[in-house]
Amino acid sequence: MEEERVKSALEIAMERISALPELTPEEIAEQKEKQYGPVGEAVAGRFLSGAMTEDELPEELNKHTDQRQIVWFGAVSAFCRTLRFEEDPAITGRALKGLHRIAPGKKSLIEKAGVEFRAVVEEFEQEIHKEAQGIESLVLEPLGISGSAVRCNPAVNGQWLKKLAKISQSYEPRLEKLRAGLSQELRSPGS
Amino acid sequence: MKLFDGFYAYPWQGNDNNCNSYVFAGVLKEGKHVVVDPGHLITPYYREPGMERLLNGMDRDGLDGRDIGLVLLTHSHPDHSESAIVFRNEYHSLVAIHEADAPAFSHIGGKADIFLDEGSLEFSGSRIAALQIYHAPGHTPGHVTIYWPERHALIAGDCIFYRSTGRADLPGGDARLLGMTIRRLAELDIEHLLCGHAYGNPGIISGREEVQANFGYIRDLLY
Repeated sequence: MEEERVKSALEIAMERISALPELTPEEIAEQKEKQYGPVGEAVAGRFLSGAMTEDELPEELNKHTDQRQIVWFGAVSAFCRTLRFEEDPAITGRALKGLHRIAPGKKSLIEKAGVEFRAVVEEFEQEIHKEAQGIESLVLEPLGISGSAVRCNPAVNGQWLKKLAKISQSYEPRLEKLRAGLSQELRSPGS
Repeated sequence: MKLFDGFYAYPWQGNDNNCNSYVFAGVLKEGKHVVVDPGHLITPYYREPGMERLLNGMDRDGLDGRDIGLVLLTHSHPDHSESAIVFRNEYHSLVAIHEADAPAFSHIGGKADIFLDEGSLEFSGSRIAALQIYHAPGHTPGHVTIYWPERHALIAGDCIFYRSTGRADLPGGDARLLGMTIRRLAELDIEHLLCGHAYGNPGIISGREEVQANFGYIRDLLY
């Protein structure tokens, strides 16, 4: 009688894998997106940090010829994500330059998005400025402090920070629509 | 120690380095006080209880330290500002400092509720006419002095001492700016020069002639 052989861990693993059902095309696409999307995001990150020039940007994105669309969209998404209040305006400006460089055919669309973003920022800042005047009365008036020498520091005031977060959130749907619209329009390298 | 009606000085009398503190008593709403430069919580070398001594001094003058509503800081150095952190955390006092000194203050754990700019400072609950805040850089970038025109008194922080000036060699210091600041302050009508430290004398120089002589000495010797 033939002696039963002990299976190796690799053999057991391979047996289990072969028993699994085949991946669906959607699952394969999702896996590729997970794998190559971050490559595009990393390229965008290097560009935003100044470690890469405008000329190098498309070259880097085009290196991944087999998954070019996913890499491209990863970069576009990363650039679009900079359209938010908390971002350094210089970074947002550089992201728009990056989009211009990789999608020259969509120049007017990108410019329009930039103008719209700046308009939202301006509106937000005006509202903040208006509301900030209220904090003076909140902080200084209870103690009877006044004069041109005193200016409240809203960054340490809990009530103000809550108010600021609320105002910021009220603008978020507009910003999200702007980001989503732009990234959708620039979805593929041919755009 | 009462200097004027509603105004007290607490010159530091320990062995370690710590600053002189000044209190405007009952000038805020609900009779709360304003303290200028409350100093060290505990001094760094001899471990002397700076804040406790200030509170004891105030207590002897019938002032409750828990009623400090506002801490004015001439600058961020811990020998002037450390106790402000405790006043804010324990007694919910507001802390005011020039914005240029706020980052250094935050390095020792301090938070500024109010930024001080050059201009007027008024307390509606008091008989004190407006104080004038002067941006006085040189010892630190955001150093301020507090001038009380009604009493011709200047709380000078670490700009000027008895026959001496504040250091300009510490981080953020600038000897040229300090010289300009001192020349500018010398133009004020000062009868009481309330210094930030008791170097060479208790740190309170009184009398116009004596104050001018002190400015003259410094001008001739250093600038």
